[in-house]
Amino acid sequence: MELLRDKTCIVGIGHTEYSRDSGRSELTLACEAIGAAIADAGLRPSDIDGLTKYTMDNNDPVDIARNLGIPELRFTGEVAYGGGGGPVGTILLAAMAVATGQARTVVAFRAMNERSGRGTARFGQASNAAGAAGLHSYQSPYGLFSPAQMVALAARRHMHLYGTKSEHFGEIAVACRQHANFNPNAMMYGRPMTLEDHQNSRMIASPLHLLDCCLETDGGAAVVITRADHARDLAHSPVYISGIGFGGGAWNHRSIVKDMDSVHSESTVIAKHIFRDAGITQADIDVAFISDHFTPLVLMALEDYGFCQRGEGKDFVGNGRLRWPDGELPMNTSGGNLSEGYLHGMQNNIEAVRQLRGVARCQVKDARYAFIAAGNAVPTSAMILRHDR
Amino acid sequence: MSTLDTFPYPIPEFGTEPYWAAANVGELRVQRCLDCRRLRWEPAPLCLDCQSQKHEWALLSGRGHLTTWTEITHPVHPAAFAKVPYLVVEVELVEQAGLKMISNLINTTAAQVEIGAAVSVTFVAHPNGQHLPVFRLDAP
Repeated sequence: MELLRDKTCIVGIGHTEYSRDSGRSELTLACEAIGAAIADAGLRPSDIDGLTKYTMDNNDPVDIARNLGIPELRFTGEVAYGGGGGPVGTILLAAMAVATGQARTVVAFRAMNERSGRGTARFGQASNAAGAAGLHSYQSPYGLFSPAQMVALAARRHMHLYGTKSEHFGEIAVACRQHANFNPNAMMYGRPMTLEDHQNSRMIASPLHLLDCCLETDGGAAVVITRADHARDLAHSPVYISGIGFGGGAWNHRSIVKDMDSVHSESTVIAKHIFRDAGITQADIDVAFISDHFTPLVLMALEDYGFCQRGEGKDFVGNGRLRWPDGELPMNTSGGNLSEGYLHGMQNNIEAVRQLRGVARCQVKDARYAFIAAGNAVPTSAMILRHDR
Repeated sequence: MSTLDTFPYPIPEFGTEPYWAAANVGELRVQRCLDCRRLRWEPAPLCLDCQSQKHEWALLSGRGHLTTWTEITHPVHPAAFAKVPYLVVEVELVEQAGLKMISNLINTTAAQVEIGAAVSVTFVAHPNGQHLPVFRLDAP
């Protein structure tokens, strides 16, 4: 809502290392990431009075508060739909809480051992349940389990309708990998990748190759949100939340089998208002963070959020447009879900804040506006961040 | 039967039993709204177009065409190791534009598959006894 424009800020960011096996509990990861974010803001745990989380995060805010020394919680909230609703939806909840005075300073976090499976199940693997109920009863008996398999169906349809090719998806993967190779905390740091490597990677569910699919990661990531008038005296210049929203819609698809024959989607629900709320257009965005859980969904998000028209994504991602430093719209400048790590999108928020503070490794010169889109093909969330400069 | 030797079986629930019971006698039946006459898949308690609860289980021809497909080559379930590669498809059924369902395409290979291909339903038994609607390519 426009009511929220620039009323709240992200003032602290923190994360753990991103790994295949963290070797410690999910609660430890949460406390480390949240503690780092609070310290980054120049605050103490006693300054925090709210926590927001993903519904599927195993950590209980009470456990976090006890361990970190947060004396009182005035607000908690959870957002569903994983890497879609969660990454920005948790910040939306926090922003509403601090804007209305229900809390003063709230931390949004994601912490999990998804890659090692020590606490959180791997999303890329099926459960061992003998029977399937609900929506799964129409998918699992056919061997349709994983997000990659479901995205493959939409990707094939997009290719059929618009002439999109695997190489266009590959360009997205290559851009993210290129950025990850500037980021020592990226899981794919030191592992360059070419379009040929992408094309030669094994097929997972055609047309998706292995290198079209994001990582699975152990780690924690957190951001601190407070009201603009409280933000000015903190450790860093504030990053304003100019536009923010949650979106679900286009019920003609279920789960992650996105209906490419509809021009409406979860993303277009947000696109209708977020740029207006922030008072800008897509052309004003200096750096973009588009959830790259799977490369075809990046291309679809660029279309749905109006960076180009439906069907034009294949041309839009060409000519290195998404690659730092020369591209017109550098995207996922720390490597994204594909090559930095997959904290279900929360890590992209951290890099967006770094860009606007001017301290990113792949720094976009004079970046003023960042656009962050969480995972699409499920109910999702997105925001526009701004820095005064 | 070890649960990991096969893909999960569907669990019929309130409101979905007729769908699975029809499959067991070789019929593809979906809900038809008694108020607006629209068909819907998968089963849902209310009509997605007019929100009526009144419906009948309409017998379909089982004919349709492929709107999209994937060949799954990377097994993510223990039972998939013996099944890869296998084809998961979306079929638009002839009775209504946009009436689409997820299924398998059997007795063919990826090289034979293209979007738009005409398909017809058949039924295969899950090892637990429940039959599943699946599709095969129509003869050219």
